[in-house]
Amino acid sequence: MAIYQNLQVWLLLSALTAAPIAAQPNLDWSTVSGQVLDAHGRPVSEATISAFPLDVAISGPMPQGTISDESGRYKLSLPPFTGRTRLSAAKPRDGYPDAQGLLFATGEEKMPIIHLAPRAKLDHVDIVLGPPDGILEGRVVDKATHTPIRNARITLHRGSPESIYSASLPPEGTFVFALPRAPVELSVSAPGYTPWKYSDNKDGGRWLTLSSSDHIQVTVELSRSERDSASPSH
Amino acid sequence: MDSTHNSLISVTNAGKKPTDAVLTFHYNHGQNQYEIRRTIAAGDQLWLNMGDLVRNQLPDVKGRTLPADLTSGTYEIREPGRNNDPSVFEGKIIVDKAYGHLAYGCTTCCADGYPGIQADPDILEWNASDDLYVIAVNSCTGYNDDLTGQFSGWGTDNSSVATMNSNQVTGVGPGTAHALSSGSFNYNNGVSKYCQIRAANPSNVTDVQVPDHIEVLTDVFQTINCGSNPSTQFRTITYRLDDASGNIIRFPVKIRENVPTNLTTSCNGSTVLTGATCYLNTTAVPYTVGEFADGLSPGCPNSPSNSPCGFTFNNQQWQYCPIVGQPTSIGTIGRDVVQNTLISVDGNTIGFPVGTKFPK
Repeated sequence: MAIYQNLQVWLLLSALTAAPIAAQPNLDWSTVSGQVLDAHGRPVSEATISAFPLDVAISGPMPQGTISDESGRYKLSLPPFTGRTRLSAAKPRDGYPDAQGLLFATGEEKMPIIHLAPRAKLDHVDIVLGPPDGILEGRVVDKATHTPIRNARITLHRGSPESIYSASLPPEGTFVFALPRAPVELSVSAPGYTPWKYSDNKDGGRWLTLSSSDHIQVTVELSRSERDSASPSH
Repeated sequence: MDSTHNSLISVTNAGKKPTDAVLTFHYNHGQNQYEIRRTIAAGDQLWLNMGDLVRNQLPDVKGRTLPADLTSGTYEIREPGRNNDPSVFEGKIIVDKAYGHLAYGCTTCCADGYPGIQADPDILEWNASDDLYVIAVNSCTGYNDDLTGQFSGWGTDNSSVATMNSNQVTGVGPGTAHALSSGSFNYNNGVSKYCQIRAANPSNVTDVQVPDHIEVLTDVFQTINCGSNPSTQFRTITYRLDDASGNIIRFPVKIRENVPTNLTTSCNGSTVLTGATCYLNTTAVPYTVGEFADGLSPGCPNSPSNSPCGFTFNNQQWQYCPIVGQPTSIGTIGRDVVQNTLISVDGNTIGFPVGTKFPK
């Protein structure tokens, strides 16, 4: 579960923890610190912090790895991106998605936007999370052996606003997402297996919509034959 | 010790000078210690009543007390600084209602166990050097002693992999070698009363790795929220760094992206921030060696009508920046088309399977 939480934010420029900063040679990087809070002002620990430069294109190194401590505090180091840089925090297993991704956006996000300068030090940049979303949790297994499938890929698609999220899964085949109250298509593929698409057990619909109180667990069984199936349960 | 027995321990200084004695009591299967230090005058005797120490919860030199229900344990007596000529001897009395028993023991000298070569890190990068140390555990303190100064004759059994200059080892090629040394040291096995000078030929395995190629570890892409303007795409491909044998590289290395540095994106006119300058892979991902992530994004469009937009470069290549010499290719990816609507890497828009390798 935790592995997949990290996968989700690998898309984004998350940050360096404090300890290695002294060792890293780029003295121009900026330092940003603050606290992750929930909608009631309570600190959120173990949230993964990410940053996305809105006004600059990138190709290359991807800072990653900052997680809030027990008090919800974080400290990260970033290259001095030109223009605006947007911060967010994610903890999918508690219902908090990384709202940098349009697929996970509710429109109620309050992601702080900062302007970085070389060697700047920005403190008290708090990240306030919205109300938690529903949680989709699952694993991908071989239908015949019930063992995790390595090299599986999961893809989520949202029609409005048009957006996609796709990631290779860890060897354990596990995943966890916090999803907004919006219809989402879910599909899983793996080399040598028949692709799988979510289908509602009751009406056969291909859209999955979670309410904020939902916590759905899905076992995706991939078959090497033409048959595939899933067994969602609340 | 129990309700009918007590133990008295005596420590006698038979020397002609005052001496410092340390009694360490071990209990709970050796998991816990209780330590007493005393200076004993010449010819004088120290008596310890174990029953009193337990009942009165008297703290030791570190503030620890013995458990109230303690009934047994072992102990040792040492004289720090007097390795080969201990001047104290100990005796113990088990007091019984009917019988008393006195037994004399001895102290052990303070010296070292058999030494080994310590390397940190235990694996070397090509052309990197590292100091090796001869380390042994002191029988009195339990801590490591550095015996490097007593050892010479340094060398390796495979000079095509690693060479040595005194105690400094340098990796010269991929593979495994043994670092060797010879010398003598003051030996004690922790039991014997006397120390002795012994010869030793410690050795240590030295692995040398050279980054050779990369393979896909994860590939993630998603649509990014750009507010009122059209959304953009972000793709992160994490590569695993391997040596020629397919083993993951186990130390931080410098890498670079061989791309033009004057690229601009049509999404907002910014210069593309690239990894063209050699950087340590652990800079971006602390605590994680053997991998690095390549983030690709054209940035957010600067107006509602500016879509599709982005940048393209023809031959993305990742290079290893060695300690000595010029960067060398570890993976030629191909043509990257980075747009706000789709990101294509060498023609792939759906994500590379884990394990995908690229030609150098």
